Amino acid sequence: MTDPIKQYLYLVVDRQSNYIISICSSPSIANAVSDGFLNSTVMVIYWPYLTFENKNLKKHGLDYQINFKLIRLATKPVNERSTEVNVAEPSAKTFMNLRYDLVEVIEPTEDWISMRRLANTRLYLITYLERAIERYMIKHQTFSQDSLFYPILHNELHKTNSSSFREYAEISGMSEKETISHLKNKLESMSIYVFRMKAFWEKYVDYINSIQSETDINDILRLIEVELLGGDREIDH
Amino acid sequence: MTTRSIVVSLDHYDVFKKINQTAYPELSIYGEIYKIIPSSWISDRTEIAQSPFKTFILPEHKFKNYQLKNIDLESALYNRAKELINRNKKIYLSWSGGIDSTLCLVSLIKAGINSDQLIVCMNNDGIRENPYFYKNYILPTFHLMSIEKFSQILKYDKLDGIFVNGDPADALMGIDFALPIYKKFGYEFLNLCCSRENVVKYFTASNMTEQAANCWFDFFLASRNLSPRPINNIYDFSWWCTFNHRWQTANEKIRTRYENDVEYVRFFNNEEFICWSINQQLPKIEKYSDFKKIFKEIIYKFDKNFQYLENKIKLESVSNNVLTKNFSAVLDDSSRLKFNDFDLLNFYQKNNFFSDWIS
Repeated sequence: MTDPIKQYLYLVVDRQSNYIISICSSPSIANAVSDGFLNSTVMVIYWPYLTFENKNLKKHGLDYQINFKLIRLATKPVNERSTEVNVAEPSAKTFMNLRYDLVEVIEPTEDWISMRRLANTRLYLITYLERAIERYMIKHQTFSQDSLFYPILHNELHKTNSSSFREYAEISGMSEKETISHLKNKLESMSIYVFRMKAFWEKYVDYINSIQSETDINDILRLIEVELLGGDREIDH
Repeated sequence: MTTRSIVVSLDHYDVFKKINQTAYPELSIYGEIYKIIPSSWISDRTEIAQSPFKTFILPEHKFKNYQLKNIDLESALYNRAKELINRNKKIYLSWSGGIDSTLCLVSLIKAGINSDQLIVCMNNDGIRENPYFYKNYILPTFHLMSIEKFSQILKYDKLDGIFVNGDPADALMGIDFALPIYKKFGYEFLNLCCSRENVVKYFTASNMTEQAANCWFDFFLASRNLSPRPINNIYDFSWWCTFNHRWQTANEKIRTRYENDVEYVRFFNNEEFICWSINQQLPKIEKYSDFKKIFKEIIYKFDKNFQYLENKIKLESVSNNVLTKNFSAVLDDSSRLKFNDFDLLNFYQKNNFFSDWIS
């Protein structure tokens, strides 16, 4: 359906310190980054952009010297349990009494800085990976409701005497036979394409998360682009 | 060191980069070609100029005495289509919506192909490139298969018919260099004399070193005396570079996508088309979309799509290749090499054109 624009931040949070490992632009990127850091979790928090703009937030992924801790408004009399979907340090006060808030960490440890450097490298690569996939996938998104349409199409194609194709043909001006042929081909093409992209995503998320230090990212970017264009690359972890 | 030789490779640049070029000084000159031809495997069908890497010219691509017969293109298209139909096998035609594959399909339709004999393998990219043709001639008449499904069949299954595509139409037209030269220097440059000065100017404008540009000029023209047509201007040079040096790649590149035995027919590879190609001169080009106009005019005669005639340009299509994990090389024994198994140094031969040139 028509998705509203949500003012969310997708965070990868360290469960011990409640510090922010990465601020990501999508849930899938956040989960991929979190997979690479033990004792981390993904938190999505409401963050009204226009009300509360923090310029340092934008630099978080580029500058490992900028660090935040996630806090939450402690409710009384009941103190909420800290679970993987409620990771934050309880605080008496948050900005505008929002449920969650970010506070800057002034002197993080050297170990934390090392981890942030690694996180920034991985975040950059995983974000690039997702955008590269979207660059290829966008050509297949020809209707705003495709995410609804294709599962329905799959079901209709498996029915005998589906009236949906008859109606589609009447509206579009194609014959019913042409409609079925046209849509079946699209579904087949899209299905195989998406399967390939998913496998590709998992392969490279796995590989990027095996990186243990800042590395020459250009080599990895090239691997990604070459494979997308049909090259065969087996990568050593 | 292997006894095998390379027939075709499309994925050798990263392999080449791994070579320690200080140990092989001529390879720094050889490697400059990647600035102009980033992926095609260069060979010499005349076998006069030897590559630094053992290359095998398949018997069907070895250079012959070609006749200078005047061939009517439309007759050649009709004859080829008829010949394919008369094989009485299912035809799987890979259709990108581009000029070459559309011309193949037009020719098959004109030759009277039965709708049950043809399966058009395509996806949304093809519809985007030629929506009019798709809606009016393909969808109402022919069976469809997604190109993705087709590539899976080639890789994992046995094809119950012939695989046909629009190769090597670009090689017939000699546009590999002609297009980028036209973009950089304009139409008049294509008409200039095929002199060292002019060719080196093009190569160095593409960031080749002066030394490499001169060497590659000599390489490409080492067997010019065998050319069935005189190489007078830059357009002739472009044609020759493809006809002699990239012909095998243009014809065999598909084989990097699969390993199984497939009856594979390049529509534009037969004696008639080759003779036609030899007789081609530099066409009148007023705009970019005028390249391959002669093909588009035949399509236009059939479908009356003026937009396509006037505005369609040649576009690189990657649709067929996305995440297909192609092999990096095909060898003379038909074996394939994956990227990690492909070591160019295994194919190195010390006595080659480039080592002779620098010594």
